[in-house]
Amino acid sequence: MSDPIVAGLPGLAPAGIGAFPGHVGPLGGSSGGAPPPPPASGVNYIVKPADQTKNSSNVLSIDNDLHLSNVPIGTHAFECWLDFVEANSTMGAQIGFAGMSAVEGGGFQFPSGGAPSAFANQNLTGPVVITLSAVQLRGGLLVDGYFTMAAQATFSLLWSQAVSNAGNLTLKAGSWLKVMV
Amino acid sequence: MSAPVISYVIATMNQSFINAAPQNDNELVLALAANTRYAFEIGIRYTNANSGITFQITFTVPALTAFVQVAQKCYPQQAGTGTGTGTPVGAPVANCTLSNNNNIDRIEMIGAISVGANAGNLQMQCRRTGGATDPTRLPGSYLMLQRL
Repeated sequence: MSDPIVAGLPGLAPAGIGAFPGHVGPLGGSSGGAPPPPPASGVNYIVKPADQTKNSSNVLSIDNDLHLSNVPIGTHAFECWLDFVEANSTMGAQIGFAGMSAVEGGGFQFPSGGAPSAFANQNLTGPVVITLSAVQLRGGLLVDGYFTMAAQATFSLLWSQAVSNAGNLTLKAGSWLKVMV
Repeated sequence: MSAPVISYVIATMNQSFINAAPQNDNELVLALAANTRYAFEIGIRYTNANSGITFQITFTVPALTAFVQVAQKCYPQQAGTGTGTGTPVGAPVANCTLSNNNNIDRIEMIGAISVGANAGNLQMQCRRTGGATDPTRLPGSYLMLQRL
């Protein structure tokens, strides 16, 4: 989704803002242990603070930054912008998500120097293969949809090279994930 | 720089919509202040037991309010593409034909609202045309406003 709200907000909107204040966590039980952390609440933005590289594997793995902890049970909307750079044109990229019981969505890929293309509503558990530009070696990916949590847990972005290659695939700083809880 | 003022509501229950006139969504409604401008973002997720249903959404706003719909996407699950047409206020703004039985489709919209002298609500409404059963708006659907 082309989103002027989000474009102007990463880094400005802290988690938990909005109509619903954060939930109050349960009181400690008789065991005396620390209470579990409260669930995430609000319009949550996570912006990737630094580049991250992966190489020599086409197995999806969790991103270092783009994940949200303590997402409560229920169905939640999400959106993400991913800015990939590949060291050569043979690897490509692929994405997926983890932590949820189901995820559906779609979006657009924007190869630098090429024409945008849409991908349909689909199961996004992955891998969803993304074709980056073979000329510019850089491509953006805008994905949105909904996911369902069967238990309070962490919702995470997964990504890797589509074809294992010794060169680096980089997810650039500034890529972001928005989750409405 | 002051923090942005954002309000939003997320649906938590299913709601079915009958044919004919647009019907208020029980959950997707937000307050609008007088003499205020907002950017909005809307995400609707819905399904139906039969194919051939056109699911339409529209909005009611206070008098003297301008509603500018900038962009809209519709994602029928099976076809993978979709289009939306219509007039922003006073008529259905999104037409999305369900592609198959029990699929989950999505509508997304962004735009701006300029509220005049009358405060009130941004109230989403839905209806269906065609088909034999009522479409259902699903949990996770949301309205979000950012005060400008």
